[in-house]
Amino acid sequence: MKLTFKILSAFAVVALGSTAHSATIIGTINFSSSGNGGIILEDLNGNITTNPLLAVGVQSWLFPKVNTRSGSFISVPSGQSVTFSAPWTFTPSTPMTPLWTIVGFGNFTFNLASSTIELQDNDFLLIEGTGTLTGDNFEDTPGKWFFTTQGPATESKFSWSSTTKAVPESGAAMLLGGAMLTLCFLRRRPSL
Amino acid sequence: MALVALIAFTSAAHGGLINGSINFSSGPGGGVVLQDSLGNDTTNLLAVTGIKSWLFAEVEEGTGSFDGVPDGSAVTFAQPWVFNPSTPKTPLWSIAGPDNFAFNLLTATVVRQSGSFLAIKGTGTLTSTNYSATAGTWYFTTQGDEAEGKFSWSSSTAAVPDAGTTLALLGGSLLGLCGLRRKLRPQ
Repeated sequence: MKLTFKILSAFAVVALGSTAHSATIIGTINFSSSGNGGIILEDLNGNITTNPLLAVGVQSWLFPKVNTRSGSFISVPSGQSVTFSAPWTFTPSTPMTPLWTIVGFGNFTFNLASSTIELQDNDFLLIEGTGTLTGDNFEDTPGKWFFTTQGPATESKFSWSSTTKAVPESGAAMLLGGAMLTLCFLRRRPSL
Repeated sequence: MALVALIAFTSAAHGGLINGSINFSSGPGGGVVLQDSLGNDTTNLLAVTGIKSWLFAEVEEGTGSFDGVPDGSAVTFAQPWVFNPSTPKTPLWSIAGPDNFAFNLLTATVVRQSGSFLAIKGTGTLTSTNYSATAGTWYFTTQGDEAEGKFSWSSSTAAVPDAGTTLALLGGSLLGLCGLRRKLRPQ
């Protein structure tokens, strides 16, 4: 029994130490285009299209920048430029490593694993994706990506906006909770 | 009749209808603050019924009649703007400048509203000091989560192609002129 507690406590300390050393990413970061920016959409043949209904991917991202941010992203200045990989094909869902990168200020990136189209018609395109956020001094953290654009195109460019959100990692929280409980139990046990 | 047609045609040609489209989003630090049916701030897209404030709204790109509006120009939005229930807004947005473009929203339809997305389509009238009032359509989207209390968003406003009015006026004018010519023809 004593051995079991020792093993458990050692596991808890390791888990706690690991969590404290390199935290997961928290918060949200929002992007859109700046003046003269936008996105160019492409159809199945890789040609530019001005109809959201025919779009299967984003051919280019022009002047994306940070709007607002919170949590771990607070070190990234508003207005900071963002680099997007292009083309990004969403039909069919295509992984993109990374989908976006911010150079400096923590070197955050988002690796898109999969995406789902919420709405696509002649006027609107709404997409949700899942993937992994990375950043200096942070553990890789599951993230969600939300993207919207709407018609019509102006000089072939669509205005758009997006949100990338760190998803609270329930696994780490459970590990931490378990470790705390174990430590608490160990402390209460009278010494033999 | 010919005289009326002629006057109408001249008037339309003078003011000229607005054409093209113009796109907006927010500048650095900008976004929209959303409100619920009680007028309180909300971060739940599903509970949103209006936009409480627009921060640092700016022009991304304009084409057609909007070509002369500099990219990055500030856009003034009326606030709060309640879209549920659909509420007219005169103007919904305006841009100070030589043309003084503005958009008067008549109706708004929520195309999609979920916990992650909000897409709205509206109809109304585009106005300008240098153009005739023109029918227009307004498209707005926002998504995901707020950061610093604000949601990022984007929008487009398009002049609706003038399907019938001008052609009808032109046809009427031509008919009128034809009639006049017949009437004035020496017997």
